[in-house]
Amino acid sequence: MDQNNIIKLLFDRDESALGYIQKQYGNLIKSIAFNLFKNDGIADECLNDTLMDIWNTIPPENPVSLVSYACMLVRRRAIDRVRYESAQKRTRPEGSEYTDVCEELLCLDDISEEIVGRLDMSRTVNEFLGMLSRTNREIFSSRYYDFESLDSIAARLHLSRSAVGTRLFRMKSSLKEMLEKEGIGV
Amino acid sequence: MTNHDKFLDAMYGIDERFLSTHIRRKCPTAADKVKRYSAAVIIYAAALVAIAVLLPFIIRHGEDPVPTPGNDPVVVETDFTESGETEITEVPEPETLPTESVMFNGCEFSITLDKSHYDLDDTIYATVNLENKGDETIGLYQGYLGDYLDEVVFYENGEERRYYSSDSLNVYAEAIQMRELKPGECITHKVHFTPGSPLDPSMDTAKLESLWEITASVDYFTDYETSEPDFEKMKSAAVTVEVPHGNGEYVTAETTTEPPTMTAPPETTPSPETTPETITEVATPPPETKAPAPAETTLPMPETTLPPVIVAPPVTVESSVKEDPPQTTTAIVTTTAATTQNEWYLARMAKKMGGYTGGCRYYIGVDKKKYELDDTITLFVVIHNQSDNVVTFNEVSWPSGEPLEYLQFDFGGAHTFYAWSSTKAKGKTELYPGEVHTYEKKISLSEYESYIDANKRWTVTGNLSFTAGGRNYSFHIPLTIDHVFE
Repeated sequence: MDQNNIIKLLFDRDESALGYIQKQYGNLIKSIAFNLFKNDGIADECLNDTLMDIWNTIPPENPVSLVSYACMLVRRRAIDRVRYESAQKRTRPEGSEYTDVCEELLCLDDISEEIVGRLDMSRTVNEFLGMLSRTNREIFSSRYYDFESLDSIAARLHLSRSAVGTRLFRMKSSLKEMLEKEGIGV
Repeated sequence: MTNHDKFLDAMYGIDERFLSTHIRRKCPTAADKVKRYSAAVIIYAAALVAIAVLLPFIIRHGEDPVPTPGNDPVVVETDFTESGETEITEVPEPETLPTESVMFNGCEFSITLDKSHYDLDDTIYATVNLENKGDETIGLYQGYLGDYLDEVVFYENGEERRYYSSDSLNVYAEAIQMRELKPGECITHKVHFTPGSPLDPSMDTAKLESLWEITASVDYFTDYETSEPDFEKMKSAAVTVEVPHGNGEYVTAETTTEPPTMTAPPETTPSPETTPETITEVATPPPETKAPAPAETTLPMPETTLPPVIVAPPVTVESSVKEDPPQTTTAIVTTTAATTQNEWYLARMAKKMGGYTGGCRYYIGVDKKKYELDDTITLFVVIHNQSDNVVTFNEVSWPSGEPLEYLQFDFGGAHTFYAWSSTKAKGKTELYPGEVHTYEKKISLSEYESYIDANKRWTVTGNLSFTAGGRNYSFHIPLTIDHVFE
């Protein structure tokens, strides 16, 4: 079933839409959550919560891409959950990609808060992504949006793991420079 | 918040075109699929044409050289046909395709299948035709949210099997939705069924020794006008074709001597405790419960796939108020009606939901399409025994053990409330073949002011359990009550 029909079912408040969403996108949604937690049970909870969010927000939302919308919702849920658990236990889930991603992005913490405070971060990140090549953009969004592992990205794009790591390192450095320039320039 | 946390939050707002391809990739639309398949067909056709054109040249190139004159062998041709003998050429008989038709008000309503015999792995293509051969315009009516009213359904031994149908969105109902059929006009709709390969892989395939049938139904009315249809004149028509398959000998519920085996219910039930032999059919999932704290509510997702049911956890009912109906009229109307004179209850329901199980067609309906806040809602729960068995009502084990049928109301307020029929109290527990049972309930909205939130969705769910042919069935039908919002 194509997404327009599924969205139509949601607008008609037909709960069978959620079954179709689960069937077509459930694995993808769950994998995003699993990447963050490495826990099947929590990933299932995130999937359920995401389906509930979809039901509660469509309508009035009418996303152009249902799968992108769903992934955005599960990402938000999963990150919020990670942050909540981190705050409660002062630890992060062991072995999850979220932990590794946060460690990779520690270089951004070197930028002063004053500079970051002046930034429209989303706009700057979009500008940055627009300047990247297709492959690099794919690597960047897979890592920092989907929390996909380096091995998985490498396998999917037919690159070596070290090549993916190297490209990410260079992109982070470029992003950091860009954030600093944008922040100073404002 | 650290910079890297801010960055991760900023990633929410990235342009969709920058997302990774396995997220951006959308399922191909029907139009995309048609284009792809059309292109594939054209390519294959061109290849076949090329082969057909070139093949004679290829073959001729390999032929023996033409013999030179004078060396031709002498060939004596002998006519082996004796005088008086005629050649018999067998002309294959045209395949007789299964077809059935009914006539109503000058309209011919028919189903035709594409083959004369089917194996379990075959796909059954059914063509439904509705042609107005009369002189007057007929109105076709699709009940609001009437997913189960105008439909083409596969039946196995009289029980519907929706998971064999390709028409899961009930496109058929849309094809005939709320439209007129003028003299000479014809609607054709095709649906296909795969009894050997259910849409939900966890469901059983059909059995070759069972009776397979396909039924198409339609609601119609005469004296059609472009304004609101006259519900008093609403009627139903249905046509059923038997699907020839297997060895042609079928074991139905009437012929079996052993208790029927249990099949996994296609949809999960909300809450009632059922006996192990209970087969539960859910028309559509019950409505979502009202405003639980989002963090506390988890939808128990079914492990199987289509058709899915989102089940509201019954624990939310604890916050509901169970109360007997106020002193408004509660009427139990059970009439004995001939099978062909059973449309009267349909005419009374301006909006309805329904289904078919255990040989019974059931509906929940209301008398108006939209309500004002000071209206009185008349609700109907109707069961029409269309089988040859006597149907016995069962006690419903939840929310209490006594009543046989009940309505659960949710008007968007803080509580839900219930109304039970007194069917058992009146001693009426059986429904004979052809009989129609109606539980009618009037709700004066002004008396339920404290339960009503006019800015939220209103629903009512009908619940009933009965035994037919030695098997238990129960159903729960939710219906949205449309109303004027404040």
